[in-house]
Amino acid sequence: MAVTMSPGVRKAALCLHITCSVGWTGAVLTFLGLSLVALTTPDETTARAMYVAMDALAWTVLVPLAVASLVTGVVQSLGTVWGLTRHYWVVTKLAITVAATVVLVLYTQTLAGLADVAAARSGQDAHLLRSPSPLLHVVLALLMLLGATVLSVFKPRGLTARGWRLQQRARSA
Amino acid sequence: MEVTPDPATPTDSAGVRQRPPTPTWVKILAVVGVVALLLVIAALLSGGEHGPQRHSSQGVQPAPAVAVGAWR
Repeated sequence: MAVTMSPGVRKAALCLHITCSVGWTGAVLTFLGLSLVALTTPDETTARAMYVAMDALAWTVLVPLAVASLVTGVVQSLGTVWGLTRHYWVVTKLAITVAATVVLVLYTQTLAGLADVAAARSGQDAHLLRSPSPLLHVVLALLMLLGATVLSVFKPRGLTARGWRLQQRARSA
Repeated sequence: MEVTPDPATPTDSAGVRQRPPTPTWVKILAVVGVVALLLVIAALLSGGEHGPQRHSSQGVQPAPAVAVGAWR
């Protein structure tokens, strides 16, 4: 399915997509800072606050921006000559975005559990507050988003089977 | 109208255009993706030690007294 957008609408959609994607990356970097402080601070109260903040950040910023980035990216590809399944770089970027969004949404459950432990102020589960899990996940997320950014900028060549068929059909017409 | 063959598109002996091979970077990323997926599946299958349940192990339930998670 290909919808032709006017140049003005295309530019507006591109601005929205870039804003959401850059915002997502910025939020991930913020999360990285919080997880680093949570893991390294000697002050237990500060560590507890970091987990509550990470949980809030995930629900209020990360998830909405991830979904917005995914939706605007699909709209952008369907409304331009790139299409959604014609070029390997578009398909790869879509796969990265879907995977990152799904893992993020699933990981919010873990964050909710950690935030509850942090807010409970119980000494029994204090060891969980030094979990490297948030740092590990956010580093992987950052690598995925950087990969998606590189694909967007370089747009490496390579047509999928469908893209090649469409190209041949267009040339024969 | 005769279509001029694209010099970048390989052709067979009959002059029929062949689809270019899958780029190397796609193959490499596909292998990385499959390996990552297998690692996640292995982590999930190895006693369920990956995921939220690991943070509420040892039978400790967090106290619900503090007003956290109002955004959820």
